[in-house]
Formats: sequence, C-alpha cells, structure tokens
Amino acid sequence: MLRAPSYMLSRLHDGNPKIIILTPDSAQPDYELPLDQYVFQLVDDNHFILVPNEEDAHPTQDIHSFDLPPSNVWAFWAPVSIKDTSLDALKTWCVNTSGKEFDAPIVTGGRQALMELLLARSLREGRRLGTMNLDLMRDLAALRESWLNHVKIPAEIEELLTNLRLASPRLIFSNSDTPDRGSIPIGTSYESRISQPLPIGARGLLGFDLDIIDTGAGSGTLFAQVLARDTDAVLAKGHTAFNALCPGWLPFRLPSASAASSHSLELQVWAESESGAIAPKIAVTPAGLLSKFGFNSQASAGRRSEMQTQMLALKLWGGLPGVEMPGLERESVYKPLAGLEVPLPDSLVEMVRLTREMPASYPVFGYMERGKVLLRPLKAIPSAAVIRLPATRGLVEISCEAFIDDRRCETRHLGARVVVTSAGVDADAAERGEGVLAATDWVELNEPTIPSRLIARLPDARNEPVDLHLFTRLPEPGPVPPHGRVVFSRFVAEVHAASAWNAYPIVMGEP
Amino acid sequence: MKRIAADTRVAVIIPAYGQPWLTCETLHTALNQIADFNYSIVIVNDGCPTTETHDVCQTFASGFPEQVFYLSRSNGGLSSARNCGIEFALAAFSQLEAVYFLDCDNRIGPHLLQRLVDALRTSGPEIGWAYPDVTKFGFAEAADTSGPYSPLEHLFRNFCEAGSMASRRMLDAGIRFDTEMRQGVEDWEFWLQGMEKGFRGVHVADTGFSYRRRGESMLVAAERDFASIKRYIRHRHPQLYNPRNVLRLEADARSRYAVYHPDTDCVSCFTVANDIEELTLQEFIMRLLQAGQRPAYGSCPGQLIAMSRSLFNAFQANGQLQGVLWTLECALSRSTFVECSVRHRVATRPSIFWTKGIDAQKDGSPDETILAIECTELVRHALSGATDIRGGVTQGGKQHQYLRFHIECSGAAPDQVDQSRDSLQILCHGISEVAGSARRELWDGVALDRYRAQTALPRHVYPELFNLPSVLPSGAEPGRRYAALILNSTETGKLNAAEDLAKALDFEGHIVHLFLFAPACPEIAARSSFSQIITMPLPHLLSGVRSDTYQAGLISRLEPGHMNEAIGALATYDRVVSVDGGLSHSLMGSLRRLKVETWALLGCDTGKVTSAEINACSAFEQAYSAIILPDIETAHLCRAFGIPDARLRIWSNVINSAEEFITADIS
Repeated sequence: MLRAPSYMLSRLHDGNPKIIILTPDSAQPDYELPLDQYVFQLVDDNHFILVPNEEDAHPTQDIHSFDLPPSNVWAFWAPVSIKDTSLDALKTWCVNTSGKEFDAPIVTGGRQALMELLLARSLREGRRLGTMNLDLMRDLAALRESWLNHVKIPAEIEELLTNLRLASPRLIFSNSDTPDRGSIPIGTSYESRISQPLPIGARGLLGFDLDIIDTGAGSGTLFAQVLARDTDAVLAKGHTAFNALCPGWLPFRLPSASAASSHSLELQVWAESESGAIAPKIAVTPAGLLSKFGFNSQASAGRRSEMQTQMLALKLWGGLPGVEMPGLERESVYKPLAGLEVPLPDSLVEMVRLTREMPASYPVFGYMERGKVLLRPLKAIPSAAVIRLPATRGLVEISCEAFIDDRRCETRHLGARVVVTSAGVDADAAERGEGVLAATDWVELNEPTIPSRLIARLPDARNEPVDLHLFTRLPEPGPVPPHGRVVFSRFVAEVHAASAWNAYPIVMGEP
Repeated sequence: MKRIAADTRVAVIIPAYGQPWLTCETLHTALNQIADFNYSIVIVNDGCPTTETHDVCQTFASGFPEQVFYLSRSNGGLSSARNCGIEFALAAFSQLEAVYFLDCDNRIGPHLLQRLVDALRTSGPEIGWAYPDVTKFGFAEAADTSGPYSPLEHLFRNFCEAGSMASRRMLDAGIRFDTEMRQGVEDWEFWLQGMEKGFRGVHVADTGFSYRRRGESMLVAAERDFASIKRYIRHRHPQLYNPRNVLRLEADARSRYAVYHPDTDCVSCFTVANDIEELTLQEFIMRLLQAGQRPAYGSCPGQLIAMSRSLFNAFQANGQLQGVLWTLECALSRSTFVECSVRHRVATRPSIFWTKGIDAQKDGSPDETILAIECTELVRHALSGATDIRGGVTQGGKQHQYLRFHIECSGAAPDQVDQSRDSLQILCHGISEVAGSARRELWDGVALDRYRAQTALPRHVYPELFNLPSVLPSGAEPGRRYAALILNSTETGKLNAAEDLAKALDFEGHIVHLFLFAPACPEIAARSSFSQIITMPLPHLLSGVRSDTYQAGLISRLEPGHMNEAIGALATYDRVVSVDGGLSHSLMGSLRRLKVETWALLGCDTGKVTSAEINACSAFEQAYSAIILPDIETAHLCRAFGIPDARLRIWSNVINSAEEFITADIS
C-alpha cells in the first residue's frame, strides 16, 4: 500500500507527529505545515510511493513496502483530488494492519480544513498529556501515601528486624588458612590497580580485610573500592595513608551491611604515592579450583597455569543488611558485647582427636563431612575429644551445636558438653576444671535431630591458642543405647571486634 | 540527530503488550545504555487493546524521536511481534550488526549492549548469539548461565534467555521466531534454529539482565505445558533431535568416557575412540572437581573406567573397545561400582568371552582388572574418607552396589604387575590431594549457583530425548554411514553370511559393526570385515532373556531394561540387519521409529529357510524396511505367512565378492 526508500523507514516510524500528503504526481507541494510532512504519490490504484524531498536525497534507493502504517500520523491529506477507492483502500489497510482504531483522518481539499483538524488534534493531544500528567502526579502521591500508611511494616516485624540486627556480623569468606601464600606490590596508579572478583554478592556485605605484608615506605595513600560489575557503580570506597599501615589484617568497613543487590562484585586496590615512595605489599593466596576468582593486575599479567592463579588473601564480613560493624566508632571499642562471629574452618575441625580410648566395632568417633564431629557416648565415663585452635586475636567465645543424627534414637538425656582450656590441658584435667577458661554445663539432648547450642564464653579476650574439649555421656551407666550418635557441628568462635585487629577500621563511603 | 538511525548498530526490539507502567521501566533502562556505538529502540505494540500501552509507547517515541521507533500492529503474538521488529530493523538500519530482544517487563544493566556487542565482535563467524546471566526479580532467583556454550546441553536445557543478542549473520540466515509458538519458550526454538544452521552462542557475564518473574508470567504458563512444547520443538528440528546428531555433538564434546590408565597415569576422554583428548591424571581431576562447581557441560565425562593402556590399546586394535565400554556402561547404569577381572590367553585371532565374576582365591588372580564408577560417586567416596567403596551405599536409582564380571580375551598378559587393582586408591588419593591443593572446601562453602554444574552423563540426554538410557557411540565420521549386523550365535555358517553381507555393505560405503547377542565372541577368521565386534553379554549374565510363543513358535525377547539398552546400542546406525533373527526381531520396531533402516536376512547360512524362521520374522514384519531372501521359493512361503511383497527382496545366493552383491525386488 505504502512504499518508501528504506532509509526513510526510521523517520516514518519515529514518534514525531506527521502529515502524510497524498498527491497524484511527484511534485513536492509548497505547503508550510507546523509538523513533519511526507509526500506520497499515488502510482497505481492502491499504491502510494514516497516522494523524497531534496534534503532527504540518499544514494541508495531500494524501495521498501510498508507492512505497517507510519507512526503518529495526525492526518492523511489529499489537497488535490484522489480517487475515493484509493483513499478507502488506504484506510482499510491502516485499520487492518495497525491493530488499533484508525485515528488519522483522511482530509481532502484545502489547507483550511487540514489546519482546523490539526488544531482540534493538538487540543486533544494537549488534554491527553495533561490527563496523563495529572494521573502520574496522583499515582506518585498515592505511592507516597502508601509508604506512610498502607504498606508500613508492622511494628512486630520492625522489632524482629531490630533483634536480627543485634546478631553479630559474621565472617562469610576467608581464604587465608593456607601456608601457600605470597605477596604482591600494590600498583601505584588506578590504571595498575589490582582487580579482585569477589565470590559473594553485594547484599549483606559489611567489609573486608586485606593482609598487609609490607607497609611500604615514603608518602602515599592506599585506596580500595568495591565495584558492582554489572553497573560499574562504586558501592564503597576507602583509603589510608602508607604511614598508618601496620603488618597484618587491615579492616575496611562499610558503615552498615549493604542492601544493594548486585550479584557480581569486584574489589579494586591501588595506591598513589610521591616519587621515591615504595608501595605496600599485600598477601596473595592460590585461587585453586576456581581460577575465575583470580585477580587481574599488571603484576600478574601474562601469568600462568590455572593451578597457579592467585587471589588476594581476603576475609569478607557480612550481616543482615543494615547491621553496623561494632567498633567503627573509636569510643565504642571497649563495648563488652561488640563481637564478630568467625565460623571455625572445616580444615580445623577436621583435626579433631580422640582423647579417651573408645574400642568399638562400629563408628563411634570421627570427622564427618562439612564440619561435623561424631562422638558417641559409650561408657560410664564420658567420651572425650579435642580440637586444638590456633591463636585467635580477641577470642571471647566458642560455641557449637550438638544433636543426635539418627532419627531412630529413642534414648533420652544423652549429654553433651564443651570445655575451653589453655593449650595442652588434657581431657581429665579439663573435666576436673583445671586450666579451664570457659565451659558449658552438661546439656541433655532429648530430641534427635533438634540441635542444642553450647556456648562457652571466656571472661576476657584471649589471643593465645586454646583447646576445645568435647564430651558426651550416657544418661546412666549401663548398656550402650542403640542409635545414640551424638554429633557436634557449626563451631563458631566469637572475637572481640576492637581487639581482633592491629589497625583501626577504615570506614568506606560512597564516592 | 538523524545520524543515530542512519548509523544504528544495534536495535533493541521490545514487543509491548500490557503492563504499560512496567514498560516505562524497561524503556528507561534501554535508553540508559552506555555504549560506544549508536543503538535504536524499536517498540512493537502487538495490538494491545489497552490505550495505556499505546500512550506509553507513543510518549517515549515522541520524547526520543531519533532513537525510539514505534510500530503498531494487529495482534499476532510475541514471536510475530519480535519478527516484525527484526524486519523493520533490517530494512531501516543499513549498518545493523545485531538485535537485542527485550521483553516489555524486564530490565537491563547500563553496559549490557556494549558487552554483548563486544562479545559478538570478538567472536568467530560461527558465533551467532550472545546470552547473559539472568537475575530474576519479583519472585527473586538468579540463573547462572555461565560457562562455555554447549550445543549438547542446549538440546535438553534452555539456558539462553530471550534477553539475548542475535547477530546480523543469524538474521541474514533467515532465522526468525516461530509464530506458531504462542505458549512461550519460543526463544529456545529460535536459538535451536541457529544451532541447526551451524551457529553457536557465547555467554557474557555482568550484563545486568533482569527478568521479572511474576506469578502468572508467560514462563510459568509455559512450565505447565512444558512437555508438549518440548515435543513440538523436537518435532520442528528432526535434524537436531535424532540419535545420530546427538551422538555427533557428544562426540565433539568428548564427554562420554574418562578412561584412566593406571600404567601411564593418564586419562583418555572421549565419546568415540578415534577422537580422544589425553589428560594427565591431575588435569582430569582438576576438571572433574571444577565440573561440580561451575557450569561447563561436557567438559568432563561422568563415567570413569580404569583400564590399563595396554588393554585399552588391545581392545581398540581388535575392534572390541566399543563393545567392552558399552557393556561396562550398561552395568554401571545398574550398579554403583563395576569390577571386571581380565585374563588373557594366547590366540591367533581376537576373541572375547564374558562370564560372571570369578573368585580370585579359588580361580586364581586375574591378569588385570577393569573398574567402572560414575565420577561424582568417585569424588564423593574419595572425599568421605571411607575405605571400601564396594561396601558403600547403593547410588539412588540403581539396583546394585557392586557388580562383578570376568573377561577372557585373546592377547598376551601384561609384562608388568597388575596395577589396576589399586587404581581406585590411586584415583581417590589423587582426588583427595588435588581437592586439598585446589582448595575445594573453600569453594564448597561459597554459595554459588550450581544447578548446571555437573559432569556429563548419557542419562541427562537420551532418556529425555529418546526414552532410551543411552546410545552406543557407533561413530561420528562425517559423511560415513554405519551398519550393524546382529547375530545371536557364532556358528560358522552364520558368521560367514554376516561377513559376506559386511563386504557388500562395505562396498556400498558402510562402516560395518557386528553385534553378538551372546556373552562370547570366538575367534573370527576374517575380522577385518567388521570394524567393531560388539558382544552384548549382560542379558545372558543377568538373566534378562525371556521367551514368548507366536503361532506355536518360540520367540526370544529381552526384558524391558535390556531391551532399551539393546535399542540404544543400535539407535545411531543408519542400517541394522538381523542376520539370524532371534532376539533382534523385537528391537526393530523401535529402531524404525528412530529412522533406522531395518533389514532381516532369512536363510543366511544354508540358503534354506525354515517355516519357524519365517513365522518368527512374520511376527515383526512391519518393523522391517526390507526382508532379504535367498530365492523365489522362500518369497512364496513368506507371502503365505502374510508378509507383503513390498518388503521382500532376493539376494543372489552366492556372494563371493563385493562386486557380485546385488539386491533385487522380487518383482
């Protein structure tokens, strides 16, 4: 029905209001109209072809047949007489193909009639836009009102959230428990930055620690920022002077756990220094299985096999979005309850050792997968095992769960207990209370599979190695009850936030 | 400002129907792209009856007349609307490089177009489309579509969202959305069209594509009738969804078997034995452990077989390898762990005999041992610290924990001490060591999306597509046809007939394999007639053969499990010939449905056909494309049994060389 050179297609389907002028010949009419106009010449009974004006001239002339009418046509205007059958065919084609009511009238005759129609259409369009604007304003007002009233979070939910936010922030990723570590100098410009993909998303991120191996020398500043990779938006940025650095873990903290939703984050680290300064070095560690989490930097460019891929030595901290990191305010560093949860790594729990002989022809003790320890009570005296913990700065509490992992167990009052002692204290001494730093009472496990939490809180923060003794016992001396598989799991240390680092945290902000 | 349309490199095509206020959000994100090229947005109003949709589209088009183009059409469905946008973009934008499909309630990150275009620009000509990860919002969920593109995986799982970018070369190849598909999942069909034309996809990370997941979204509706949609898609793509093509893709991925050679400490990964990827044990274990963490379908075979290199080479040289591996695979589908002792004996010609497992203390130690286990089970065992895998827990869906067999085969015993007995320990030790050094526990503790992270197993593919447990990897040489001749026994006369037929088929250009439904294959004189000899011992060793009577004649059949395996064993051949009837008759109907040409040979050995043979064949005559007879007399007898003329052909009764091979219609 309508045909035009292909290069005109986009203009005929743009959002500008248009007049389509229908003529019986190819002459460009000399009309001054207040909106875009396109002249189509009737070339046979049912076909019109665009007559390009001089300024639209284009070297390619391939002609495209329209499947759909042009967009936002305010009127088809036939200033010179054109057969009614051709105009009717045009109208029918528009109705059939456009999928909506035909809203572009066909005007025949002089310019006056067209201008009247355009005026009416303009007024109508003005009214439509005014109505849309009014609706939009009222929608926004309703939305604001709903925030105040209708969708207000119930008080009990707010209270629940507040309580949840009292939970300690938690170590959610740590790759530092490997002897196979090295170090890398920090690039001294943003262009030579270290870019480290993070294995967690933004939601709940509260901060990270970098392990400073060498504090560098001279005058300069160390920068770190967290970037959302999908939007390239910087979520948080922090910096510190070289001379404020000290060897060990350097904490960077967001003011509160992030509520952002980006799945893919990147940590960027770089330095800026005066000439002659020596950049600090930070610890790196093998990425192992997932080389996609290796860092990129000029220093690592052109490297090496998959197994040799390195990532920064990192500790990532998280919590419920909105949770604040304790100890961020310097005056609050001595708050007694300012703790952070550090799950004991499975590799540490795996080193659990039996401390009393347990002869049996079936499994009674051992490390199970995913940080679980089986310790079955067997005899009149409690079964005992120990996990030796290395020195942990600011250790104030150790907790774990105990449960019976066999649903068939019908025995009640099986007991579990943990005792924290100085390193090297044996099980008998621990049971007698010698060298004990903290201990739980005996906790009776009455329902298989329902875990009980055992919490041993130390009176003071401790920085030396400790032993964690595990004990289980029967309800009473006698035959060994069947299925009494007592399992310890989810070992968590709590460290005192203000004592766990050599350095004050670097508070990161939005750039 | 008109410059944008003239130099548009990418068109974002947004079909609009309903949800006008969500469309505002979609358009907002589409307009916010940061790119070093010009892009345009083409909104296609698919005849939405609500005026708000038109108002929103028109308002954006008016607000951005240089960049947003608006097409209004009568309702034709999502596919049709996208096609309309494609045609418009191709006609209007002469510099177009790609189109991006964005549904009117989804959102995109500001760098999406740039990153997808960069991926297409830097890829080879075979890359037809670039697809993103998906963050589903509303009912939130994330879908990790990362990893190398696997055409094999794409046949049974759609991991390329509609929110992907199709290159100009795909569109120029005539690929469009199927307008008949109005129930959803049309995007999968679109990419499959690309795959059929030789294109492949490429994954692009960090695009910020967000898919709005609503309770009554189209996808949810599609899930309700997903089975029929998948049937439709498979029906539309018979070239993709046939066993031979799937096998070809599997052969390209080399993802069927990982054969560990304890004597060389290497692992051969392959589907067909003439295309092997050799890895060191450490490389293989690394790949195996990675397969459990990140999506890379097909990068690591899911079935591990421990077999010395010398035995592997001997089986390969004797044309027995495929049969041995297939038997182990079938046993592994029933059992967590399969152990097969091997004893060699001196013989001038290749032979192989399968029996049930021997008692080493009573019968003496075997020369070597073959072990088979699924890789994930091996990893689980290796990392659990348990010592004896034979006494472990039976894997879900399997009947046995431990199956034992024994092979007596031709060839000299290995010079060195048998190591394969310890191969499991070597593997477990290696896995444990690599898992430690590669810090598996560290990554295990990270919450990654692992739903596509798996080793490749036939059961991911073939049951879903063909209702078969697996298919035997007959071969994937381009342009070659494969034929299987089936024998139930190895009597000399029958073997001679099979060899004669093999020569004739070879003359026609077939690669010919011999199948023996028997636990043994004696020394075959002219083995060169068959490139592979495949014994099918399990039905006999596991009591899987039954008998039925048909018109007073006794007809053997396989139990359902063995039957499916037998069909799978033959499903990728172009032609299957029953040389001596028996068990093979009952397989032919299923094979014919899989578009395999099926022949029966009557009177193969003596030239005389008994009534019992014809009776048995007549019970299955509909399953055959052709029944080959020795003479006209037999043809008369066949007709008397009700076998139609159209299936009957005469084979000259003396075939001494390929040149003399002829077939002729009885008429």
